[in-house]
Amino acid sequence: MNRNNDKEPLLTDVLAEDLPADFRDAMLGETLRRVRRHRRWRQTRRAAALLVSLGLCAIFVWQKILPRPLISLSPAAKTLEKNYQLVQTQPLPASAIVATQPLAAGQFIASAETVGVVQTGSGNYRALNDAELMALVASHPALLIRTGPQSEELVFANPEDQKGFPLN
Amino acid sequence: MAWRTFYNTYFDRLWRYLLVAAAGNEDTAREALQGMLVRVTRHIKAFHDESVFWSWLTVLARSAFADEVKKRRRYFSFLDRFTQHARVELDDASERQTETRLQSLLERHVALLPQDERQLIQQKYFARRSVREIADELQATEKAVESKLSRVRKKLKHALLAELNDESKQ
Repeated sequence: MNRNNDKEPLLTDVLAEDLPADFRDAMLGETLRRVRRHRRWRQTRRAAALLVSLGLCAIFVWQKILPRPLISLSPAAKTLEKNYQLVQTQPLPASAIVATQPLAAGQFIASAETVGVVQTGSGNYRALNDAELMALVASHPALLIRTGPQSEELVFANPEDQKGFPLN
Repeated sequence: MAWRTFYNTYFDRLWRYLLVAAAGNEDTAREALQGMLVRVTRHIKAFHDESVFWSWLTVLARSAFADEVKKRRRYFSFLDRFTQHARVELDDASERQTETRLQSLLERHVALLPQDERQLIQQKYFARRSVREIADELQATEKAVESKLSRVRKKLKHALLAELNDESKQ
């Protein structure tokens, strides 16, 4: 019992006790399954990376190397390039249009300036007294008739003078 | 074929190593061993010295065990706080002593067995007698002897794992 080699089988059997009979095989199978899954995952990842790289290269070639058309006839391309807002218009219906016509000659009413405008200014006159009034019309015989406390009437002897005459 | 050879040669050794590392926790040891075997397939390379190869294997085993402990700690941290689950920190000395430690523990617990059980173990494993010979000597059936051997081995295993667990708590 002193040699380790003697205890080796016992230790192996003791530690294997209570373990499933196929413990080793199950562990081996599970290991292989995990390794295969890992390998598949690694291959998938590489393939995905390759596809992404190819896609990026294709985009690069398309954008940088191939000449881009100056005028695109494709409606989709136009939509991408426009930087304005398109507004669409339609002709109005006839009922919505208001039209004007020139008037006939008889329908014109024209106004002309026929009245002279007399403008008066303040402070540019002086009230005459009776004597000054009679002196003013001295060359035309006339009478100054008082008709009330504050009113008088100048009556010319010559009816022609009633129509007016120039003053000197 | 090479993998099968490696597997048959090192499986028991690695299992014991991780069982000691996991303080007798078989679930942890099993998961760590599984992870370790996967790592071997990924990183295997040529070695010219068996001891260097074994050292490399123990590095992988320690790494897989540490990952397993981290994983369990993450999921069951609250359980750990209350049950004081042991975590073994391996150092170089304990690596070298794994086998020796197990052997001495086994020797001690065999010595603690009752007389009849100890004799049965000695007959089977140290005297290398067959079950049939033992059964003839004890005037019992082979099945009865096998059954008793199984019970004794279970007892030894539980005592061994319990002691590993107790040691890790200290």
